[in-house]
Amino acid sequence: MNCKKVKPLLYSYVENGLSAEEKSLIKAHILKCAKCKRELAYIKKYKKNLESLAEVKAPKNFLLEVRERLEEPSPIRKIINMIFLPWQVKLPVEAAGLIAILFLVNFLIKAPFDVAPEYNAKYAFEEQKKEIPAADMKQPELSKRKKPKDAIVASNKISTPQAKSVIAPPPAIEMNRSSIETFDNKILEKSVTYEISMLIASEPKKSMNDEKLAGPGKSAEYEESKPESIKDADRKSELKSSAKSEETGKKIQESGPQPGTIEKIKYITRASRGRILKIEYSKETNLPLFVILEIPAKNHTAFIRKLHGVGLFRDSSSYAKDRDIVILKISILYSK
Amino acid sequence: MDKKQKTNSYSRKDDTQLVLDFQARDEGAFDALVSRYMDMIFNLCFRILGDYDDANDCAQDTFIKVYKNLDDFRMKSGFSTWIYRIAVNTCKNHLSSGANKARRKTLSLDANEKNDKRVIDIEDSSGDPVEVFEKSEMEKVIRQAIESLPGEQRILIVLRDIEGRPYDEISSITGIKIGTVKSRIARGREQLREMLEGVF
Repeated sequence: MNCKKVKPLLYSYVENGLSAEEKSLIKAHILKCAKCKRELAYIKKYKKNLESLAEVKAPKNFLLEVRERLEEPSPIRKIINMIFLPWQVKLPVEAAGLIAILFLVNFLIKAPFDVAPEYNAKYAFEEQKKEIPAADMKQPELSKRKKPKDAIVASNKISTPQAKSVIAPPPAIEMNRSSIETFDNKILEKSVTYEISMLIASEPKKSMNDEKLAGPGKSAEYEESKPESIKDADRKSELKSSAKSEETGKKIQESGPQPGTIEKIKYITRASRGRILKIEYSKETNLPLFVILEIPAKNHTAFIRKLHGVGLFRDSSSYAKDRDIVILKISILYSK
Repeated sequence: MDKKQKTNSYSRKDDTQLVLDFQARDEGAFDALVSRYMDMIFNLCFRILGDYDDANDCAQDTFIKVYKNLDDFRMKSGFSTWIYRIAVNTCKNHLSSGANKARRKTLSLDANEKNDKRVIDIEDSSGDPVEVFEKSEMEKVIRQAIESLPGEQRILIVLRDIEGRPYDEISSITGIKIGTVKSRIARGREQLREMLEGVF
């Protein structure tokens, strides 16, 4: 046997894992081979030292710790227990969380949205109201259907709280589509028709102011006023608050409206940034029967104010203020 | 039957009977098995892992796995082989875990001293302090040499050269063929020889 064959068997030789024949052969080789002899000596020490390593004992409370870990819930069970907390704990926590989320959502969605048209219209109207001079606060209250003489009464109601509401829009209007047959449906959809019946004097023009001064029930002689321009009409509305005005009497008998009435209406319409949509004339008399025009809702009040200078309001429907554009139908009546 | 008598009755029973008792819902039988094997398993884990706390964790894990699977144990192999198999696999998993790898990179001398102190605390029958010191120093060197081996070789060396298990049992415990067991052990011994030749 040579070293190459003996060396792998030395561990088994030490562990008594060889047959008797193998043992004797190895023993014979070791007696002759110093190298294998040294190797054998090392292997014996190695085995002895490793086998004699002191046993390391478990801690004294080892069994107790094992039992504690066995009784401890598993991680999955811990998570389940956390999710399904007792309702006494869970409900307040979830309620608090829900409230916090609602606050956050409310805060985030409270963006500066565009104001609704109604909102705009309302405040635009309010701004309009502020712009109107104090003198104009004396407009007759159009929210009620009044007879002509009521206009005088209305003008006397300046100091009442209701006077402020004079600027309030006229009564709600009724949609009168049948009278606007030729109009585009698009216009009809976005507007509300407001109807006014105006009495145009065929005799010398009666101003609103004159009627007030005359008082109810009095007959008044009217002097034909100076040729009226739109500017005069504006000035006249300012003079309504004055205590006196001269009364002149001069009857002018005319068979039709004052010349330029339609022109005045047109001018007032244009001044109010509106436009004439239709003028209907009588086939028999060739006199204008009605005018249909449209103006921005925000200029409606100013338009009405100016229109008072043209003729006497006989009747008017209520005004709906929730539109941007107002279409007015002014029916023209002629006094004898 | 008082507690001491009960303990004595358990100690007389072999592993098979204790397993059967446990499967019959006798929790005391499990406690008896733990008492019987805790030092062996703890020592095995310590020799493989080289750290006292790691050995304690792995040993506890071993017995918890035993508890959870004991109802399904059909005694095809002996209980000791089965529990050793569980312990070896638990140690293997611990060796290959990331946490263990990070810990080993930063292993400090203090940790070694702590482990050595525990070894010294073990009762030694020699009595001679010099011999005790030399013995503890020798054990420290041997332990460090074994720890330097790769995980697979380390387990086989511990089972064969420290525990003295036969090759067939080692094959059964590790699930490795006998031929492969022998060749890996031989390779491990060669590496240990390079480190330990001048020490012995």
